[in-house]
Amino acid sequence: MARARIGTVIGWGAGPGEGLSRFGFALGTFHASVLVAVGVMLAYRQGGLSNLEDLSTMVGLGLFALLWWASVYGTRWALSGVHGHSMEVALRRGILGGIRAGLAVVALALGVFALSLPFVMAAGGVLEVLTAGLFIVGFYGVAASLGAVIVGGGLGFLFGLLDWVILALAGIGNGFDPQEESRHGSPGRGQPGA
Amino acid sequence: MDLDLSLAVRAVHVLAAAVAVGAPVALFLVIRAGPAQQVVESLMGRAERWQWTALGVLVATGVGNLAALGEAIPDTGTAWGQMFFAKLGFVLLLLVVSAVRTFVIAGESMATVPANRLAAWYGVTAAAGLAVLLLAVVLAHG
Repeated sequence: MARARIGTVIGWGAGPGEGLSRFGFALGTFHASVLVAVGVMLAYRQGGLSNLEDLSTMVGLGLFALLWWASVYGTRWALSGVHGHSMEVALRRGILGGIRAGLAVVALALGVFALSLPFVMAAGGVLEVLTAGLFIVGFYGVAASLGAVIVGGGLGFLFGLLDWVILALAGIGNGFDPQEESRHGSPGRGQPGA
Repeated sequence: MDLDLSLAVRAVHVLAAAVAVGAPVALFLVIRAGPAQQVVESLMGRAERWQWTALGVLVATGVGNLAALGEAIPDTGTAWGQMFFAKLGFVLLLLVVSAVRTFVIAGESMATVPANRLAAWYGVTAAAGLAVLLLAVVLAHG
Protein backbone atom coordinates (compact mmCIF):
# COMPACT_ATOMS: atom_id res chain seq x y z
CA MET A 1 0.00 0.00 0.00
CA ALA A 2 1.26 3.49 -0.83
CA ARG A 3 2.61 5.64 1.97
CA ALA A 4 0.55 8.72 2.63
CA ARG A 5 2.52 11.85 3.36
CA ILE A 6 0.72 13.40 6.21
CA GLY A 7 1.85 16.77 5.15
CA THR A 8 0.56 19.41 7.47
CA VAL A 9 -2.14 17.16 7.19
CA ILE A 10 -4.90 17.83 5.87
CA GLY A 11 -4.97 21.42 6.39
CA TRP A 12 -4.00 21.51 10.05
CA GLY A 13 -1.48 24.07 8.95
CA ALA A 14 -3.20 25.71 6.03
CA GLY A 15 -1.68 29.06 7.01
CA PRO A 16 0.66 30.47 9.64
CA GLY A 17 -0.84 29.70 13.02
CA GLU A 18 -3.85 27.95 11.55
CA GLY A 19 -2.55 24.45 12.16
CA LEU A 20 -2.04 25.24 15.83
CA SER A 21 -5.49 26.76 15.97
CA ARG A 22 -7.15 23.68 14.51
CA PHE A 23 -5.13 21.28 16.63
CA GLY A 24 -6.03 23.39 19.67
CA PHE A 25 -9.69 23.12 18.73
CA ALA A 26 -9.47 19.33 18.55
CA LEU A 27 -7.58 19.01 21.82
CA GLY A 28 -9.75 21.60 23.59
CA THR A 29 -12.86 19.72 22.48
CA PHE A 30 -11.29 16.53 23.80
CA HIS A 31 -10.69 18.11 27.22
CA ALA A 32 -14.20 19.58 27.52
CA SER A 33 -15.83 16.32 26.41
CA VAL A 34 -13.78 14.16 28.78
CA LEU A 35 -14.57 16.53 31.65
CA VAL A 36 -18.32 16.33 31.02
CA ALA A 37 -18.34 12.56 30.40
CA VAL A 38 -16.43 11.88 33.63
CA GLY A 39 -18.67 14.36 35.48
CA VAL A 40 -21.79 12.55 34.26
CA MET A 41 -20.31 9.20 35.34
CA LEU A 42 -19.56 10.49 38.84
CA ALA A 43 -22.93 12.24 39.14
CA TYR A 44 -24.78 9.10 38.05
CA ARG A 45 -22.88 6.97 40.54
CA GLN A 46 -23.97 9.35 43.29
CA GLY A 47 -27.56 9.54 42.04
CA GLY A 48 -27.32 13.18 41.04
CA LEU A 49 -28.50 12.96 37.43
CA SER A 50 -32.17 13.47 38.28
CA ASN A 51 -31.24 17.05 39.28
CA LEU A 52 -30.52 17.75 35.61
CA GLU A 53 -34.29 17.99 35.13
CA ASP A 54 -34.20 21.32 36.99
CA LEU A 55 -31.63 22.75 34.60
CA SER A 56 -33.03 24.61 31.59
CA THR A 57 -31.90 22.98 28.35
CA MET A 58 -30.78 26.26 26.86
CA VAL A 59 -28.86 27.18 30.01
CA GLY A 60 -27.24 23.74 30.01
CA LEU A 61 -26.20 24.02 26.37
CA GLY A 62 -24.97 27.55 27.04
CA LEU A 63 -22.84 26.35 29.96
CA PHE A 64 -21.36 23.59 27.82
CA ALA A 65 -20.62 26.10 25.06
CA LEU A 66 -18.83 28.28 27.63
CA LEU A 67 -16.84 25.31 28.90
CA TRP A 68 -16.01 24.31 25.31
CA TRP A 69 -14.82 27.82 24.43
CA ALA A 70 -12.76 28.15 27.62
CA SER A 71 -11.19 24.74 27.07
CA VAL A 72 -10.22 25.53 23.46
CA TYR A 73 -8.90 28.95 24.51
CA GLY A 74 -6.77 27.53 27.35
CA THR A 75 -5.53 24.62 25.23
CA ARG A 76 -4.49 26.84 22.32
CA TRP A 77 -2.58 29.07 24.71
CA ALA A 78 -0.91 26.09 26.38
CA LEU A 79 0.08 24.59 23.02
CA SER A 80 1.64 27.85 21.90
CA GLY A 81 4.49 27.24 24.34
CA VAL A 82 4.98 23.50 23.89
CA HIS A 83 8.05 22.10 22.14
CA GLY A 84 8.78 18.39 22.19
CA HIS A 85 7.69 15.73 24.65
CA SER A 86 8.55 17.17 28.04
CA MET A 87 6.31 16.32 30.99
CA GLU A 88 7.49 19.38 32.89
CA VAL A 89 6.55 21.72 30.04
CA ALA A 90 3.22 19.95 29.45
CA LEU A 91 2.27 20.28 33.12
CA ARG A 92 3.44 23.88 33.49
CA ARG A 93 1.69 25.03 30.32
CA GLY A 94 -1.37 22.96 31.26
CA ILE A 95 -1.68 24.58 34.67
CA LEU A 96 -1.16 28.10 33.28
CA GLY A 97 -3.54 27.44 30.38
CA GLY A 98 -6.20 26.18 32.80
CA ILE A 99 -5.80 29.27 34.99
CA ARG A 100 -6.08 31.55 31.94
CA ALA A 101 -9.22 29.72 30.80
CA GLY A 102 -10.77 29.98 34.27
CA LEU A 103 -9.98 33.69 34.56
CA ALA A 104 -11.33 34.27 31.04
CA VAL A 105 -14.66 32.78 32.10
CA VAL A 106 -14.75 35.02 35.19
CA ALA A 107 -13.87 38.07 33.07
CA LEU A 108 -16.62 37.15 30.62
CA ALA A 109 -19.16 36.79 33.43
CA LEU A 110 -18.13 40.15 34.91
CA GLY A 111 -18.34 41.73 31.45
CA VAL A 112 -21.89 40.46 30.99
CA PHE A 113 -22.72 41.75 34.47
CA ALA A 114 -21.26 45.18 33.67
CA LEU A 115 -23.21 45.36 30.40
CA SER A 116 -26.42 44.59 32.24
CA LEU A 117 -25.87 47.37 34.82
CA PRO A 118 -27.39 50.21 32.75
CA PHE A 119 -30.61 48.24 32.36
CA VAL A 120 -30.71 47.52 36.10
CA MET A 121 -29.98 51.17 36.90
CA ALA A 122 -32.83 52.27 34.65
CA ALA A 123 -35.18 50.19 36.79
CA GLY A 124 -33.72 51.06 40.21
CA GLY A 125 -31.78 53.88 41.86
CA VAL A 126 -28.42 54.63 40.26
CA LEU A 127 -26.48 54.97 43.52
CA GLU A 128 -27.93 51.78 45.03
CA VAL A 129 -27.25 49.76 41.90
CA LEU A 130 -23.69 51.11 41.57
CA THR A 131 -22.96 50.32 45.21
CA ALA A 132 -24.35 46.82 44.82
CA GLY A 133 -22.45 46.41 41.55
CA LEU A 134 -19.14 47.44 43.09
CA PHE A 135 -19.72 45.01 45.96
CA ILE A 136 -20.52 42.18 43.57
CA VAL A 137 -17.48 42.87 41.38
CA GLY A 138 -15.20 43.42 44.38
CA PHE A 139 -16.31 40.47 46.45
CA TYR A 140 -17.64 37.85 44.04
CA GLY A 141 -15.13 38.85 41.37
CA VAL A 142 -12.18 38.21 43.69
CA ALA A 143 -13.73 35.02 45.08
CA ALA A 144 -14.54 33.72 41.60
CA SER A 145 -11.03 34.56 40.39
CA LEU A 146 -9.50 32.60 43.26
CA GLY A 147 -11.83 29.71 42.46
CA ALA A 148 -10.89 29.95 38.78
CA VAL A 149 -7.18 29.80 39.63
CA ILE A 150 -7.63 26.73 41.82
CA VAL A 151 -10.10 24.83 39.63
CA GLY A 152 -8.54 25.92 36.32
CA GLY A 153 -5.04 25.15 37.53
CA GLY A 154 -6.10 21.74 38.86
CA LEU A 155 -7.88 20.76 35.67
CA GLY A 156 -5.01 22.14 33.59
CA PHE A 157 -2.59 19.94 35.53
CA LEU A 158 -4.74 16.83 34.98
CA PHE A 159 -5.24 17.48 31.27
CA GLY A 160 -1.58 18.38 30.79
CA LEU A 161 -0.73 14.99 32.28
CA LEU A 162 -3.35 13.24 30.13
CA ASP A 163 -2.04 14.93 26.97
CA TRP A 164 1.51 13.89 27.84
CA VAL A 165 0.35 10.27 28.19
CA ILE A 166 -1.57 10.45 24.90
CA LEU A 167 1.48 11.90 23.19
CA ALA A 168 3.46 8.91 24.43
CA LEU A 169 0.72 6.54 23.21
CA ALA A 170 0.86 8.21 19.80
CA GLY A 171 4.55 7.28 19.68
CA ILE A 172 5.65 10.72 18.57
CA GLY A 173 8.04 11.67 21.35
CA ASN A 174 10.23 14.67 20.71
CA GLY A 175 9.02 14.95 17.14
CA PHE A 176 5.96 16.76 18.38
CA ASP A 177 6.17 20.49 17.92
CA PRO A 178 3.00 22.47 17.21
CA GLN A 179 5.05 25.63 16.62
CA GLU A 180 7.07 23.96 13.87
CA GLU A 181 3.94 22.90 12.08
CA SER A 182 2.37 26.29 12.53
CA ARG A 183 5.38 28.12 11.12
CA HIS A 184 5.74 25.91 8.07
CA GLY A 185 2.23 26.33 6.82
CA SER A 186 1.08 23.56 4.52
CA PRO A 187 3.92 22.37 2.32
CA GLY A 188 2.55 18.87 2.14
CA ARG A 189 -0.61 19.70 0.28
CA GLY A 190 -0.50 18.52 -3.26
CA GLN A 191 3.05 17.18 -3.03
CA PRO A 192 3.81 13.59 -3.96
CA GLY A 193 4.05 11.04 -1.18
CA ALA A 194 7.31 9.73 0.17
CA MET B 1 -37.96 19.67 29.27
CA ASP B 2 -40.24 20.92 26.54
CA LEU B 3 -41.17 18.09 24.17
CA ASP B 4 -40.24 19.94 20.97
CA LEU B 5 -36.91 21.03 22.41
CA SER B 6 -36.28 17.52 23.71
CA LEU B 7 -36.95 16.12 20.23
CA ALA B 8 -34.64 18.69 18.64
CA VAL B 9 -31.83 17.87 21.08
CA ARG B 10 -32.26 14.16 20.39
CA ALA B 11 -32.26 14.73 16.63
CA VAL B 12 -29.03 16.75 16.84
CA HIS B 13 -27.55 14.00 19.05
CA VAL B 14 -28.31 11.34 16.43
CA LEU B 15 -26.93 13.51 13.61
CA ALA B 16 -23.75 14.21 15.58
CA ALA B 17 -23.37 10.46 16.25
CA ALA B 18 -23.72 9.76 12.52
CA VAL B 19 -20.88 12.19 11.75
CA ALA B 20 -18.67 11.18 14.70
CA VAL B 21 -18.83 7.50 13.76
CA GLY B 22 -19.40 7.82 10.02
CA ALA B 23 -16.33 9.95 9.35
CA PRO B 24 -13.77 7.45 10.71
CA VAL B 25 -15.60 4.54 9.06
CA ALA B 26 -15.47 6.34 5.71
CA LEU B 27 -11.79 7.29 6.13
CA PHE B 28 -10.91 3.70 7.09
CA LEU B 29 -12.53 2.36 3.93
CA VAL B 30 -11.18 5.08 1.64
CA ILE B 31 -7.56 4.87 2.84
CA ARG B 32 -7.58 1.08 2.49
CA ALA B 33 -8.68 1.50 -1.13
CA GLY B 34 -5.37 3.29 -1.80
CA PRO B 35 -6.46 6.55 -3.43
CA ALA B 36 -4.16 9.40 -4.47
CA GLN B 37 -2.43 11.17 -1.59
CA GLN B 38 -4.21 14.46 -2.30
CA VAL B 39 -7.54 12.71 -1.90
CA VAL B 40 -6.54 11.31 1.50
CA GLU B 41 -5.21 14.67 2.73
CA SER B 42 -8.27 16.54 1.59
CA LEU B 43 -10.65 14.05 3.17
CA MET B 44 -8.70 13.80 6.44
CA GLY B 45 -8.70 17.56 6.92
CA ARG B 46 -12.44 17.72 6.66
CA ALA B 47 -12.98 14.51 8.62
CA GLU B 48 -10.85 15.69 11.58
CA ARG B 49 -12.68 19.00 11.85
CA TRP B 50 -16.11 17.43 11.45
CA GLN B 51 -15.44 14.58 13.82
CA TRP B 52 -14.20 16.78 16.67
CA THR B 53 -17.08 19.19 16.25
CA ALA B 54 -19.50 16.25 16.23
CA LEU B 55 -17.92 14.74 19.37
CA GLY B 56 -18.39 18.01 21.27
CA VAL B 57 -22.00 18.32 20.11
CA LEU B 58 -22.56 14.64 20.94
CA VAL B 59 -21.48 15.08 24.56
CA ALA B 60 -23.48 18.31 25.00
CA THR B 61 -26.70 16.87 23.57
CA GLY B 62 -26.13 13.60 25.43
CA VAL B 63 -26.41 15.47 28.71
CA GLY B 64 -29.54 17.15 27.30
CA ASN B 65 -31.05 13.73 26.62
CA LEU B 66 -30.37 12.69 30.21
CA ALA B 67 -32.07 15.87 31.44
CA ALA B 68 -35.15 14.91 29.41
CA LEU B 69 -35.27 11.56 31.22
CA GLY B 70 -34.92 13.25 34.61
CA GLU B 71 -36.45 11.17 37.42
CA ALA B 72 -37.06 8.32 34.97
CA ILE B 73 -33.35 7.46 34.85
CA PRO B 74 -32.99 3.93 36.30
CA ASP B 75 -30.73 3.33 39.31
CA THR B 76 -27.08 2.43 38.95
CA GLY B 77 -27.71 -1.14 40.15
CA THR B 78 -30.05 -1.99 37.27
CA ALA B 79 -29.07 -3.59 33.95
CA TRP B 80 -29.77 -0.22 32.28
CA GLY B 81 -27.42 1.47 34.73
CA GLN B 82 -24.61 -0.96 34.04
CA MET B 83 -25.19 -0.59 30.30
CA PHE B 84 -25.08 3.19 30.70
CA PHE B 85 -21.74 3.00 32.53
CA ALA B 86 -20.43 0.78 29.74
CA LYS B 87 -21.59 3.30 27.15
CA LEU B 88 -19.87 6.17 28.95
CA GLY B 89 -16.73 4.03 29.18
CA PHE B 90 -16.76 3.50 25.41
CA VAL B 91 -17.41 7.23 24.90
CA LEU B 92 -14.24 7.95 26.89
CA LEU B 93 -12.40 5.30 24.85
CA LEU B 94 -13.67 6.92 21.62
CA LEU B 95 -12.42 10.31 22.84
CA VAL B 96 -9.00 9.00 23.86
CA VAL B 97 -8.50 7.00 20.65
CA SER B 98 -9.54 10.04 18.61
CA ALA B 99 -7.09 12.21 20.54
CA VAL B 100 -4.22 9.75 19.98
CA ARG B 101 -5.06 9.59 16.26
CA THR B 102 -5.14 13.39 16.03
CA PHE B 103 -1.77 13.61 17.81
CA VAL B 104 -0.34 11.11 15.33
CA ILE B 105 -1.61 13.16 12.39
CA ALA B 106 -0.61 16.55 13.76
CA GLY B 107 2.64 15.46 15.36
CA GLU B 108 4.03 13.78 12.29
CA SER B 109 3.00 16.51 9.95
CA MET B 110 6.51 16.92 8.63
CA ALA B 111 7.20 13.22 8.33
CA THR B 112 5.63 10.33 6.55
CA VAL B 113 3.25 7.80 7.98
CA PRO B 114 2.31 4.53 6.27
CA ALA B 115 -1.22 4.60 4.94
CA ASN B 116 -2.01 1.32 6.66
CA ARG B 117 -1.12 2.89 10.02
CA LEU B 118 -3.52 5.72 9.29
CA ALA B 119 -6.21 3.28 8.25
CA ALA B 120 -5.64 1.32 11.48
CA TRP B 121 -6.20 4.43 13.62
CA TYR B 122 -9.40 5.28 11.79
CA GLY B 123 -10.44 1.63 12.10
CA VAL B 124 -9.94 1.61 15.89
CA THR B 125 -11.84 4.90 16.15
CA ALA B 126 -14.66 3.47 14.07
CA ALA B 127 -14.81 0.32 16.22
CA ALA B 128 -15.07 2.34 19.44
CA GLY B 129 -17.76 4.54 17.88
CA LEU B 130 -19.76 1.55 16.65
CA ALA B 131 -19.62 0.05 20.16
CA VAL B 132 -21.08 3.29 21.54
CA LEU B 133 -23.83 3.21 18.89
CA LEU B 134 -24.69 -0.41 19.71
CA LEU B 135 -24.96 0.36 23.43
CA ALA B 136 -27.03 3.47 22.66
CA VAL B 137 -29.54 1.37 20.71
CA VAL B 138 -29.77 -1.15 23.56
CA LEU B 139 -30.27 1.67 26.09
CA ALA B 140 -33.00 3.28 24.01
CA HIS B 141 -34.90 0.10 23.22
CA GLY B 142 -33.66 -2.52 25.69
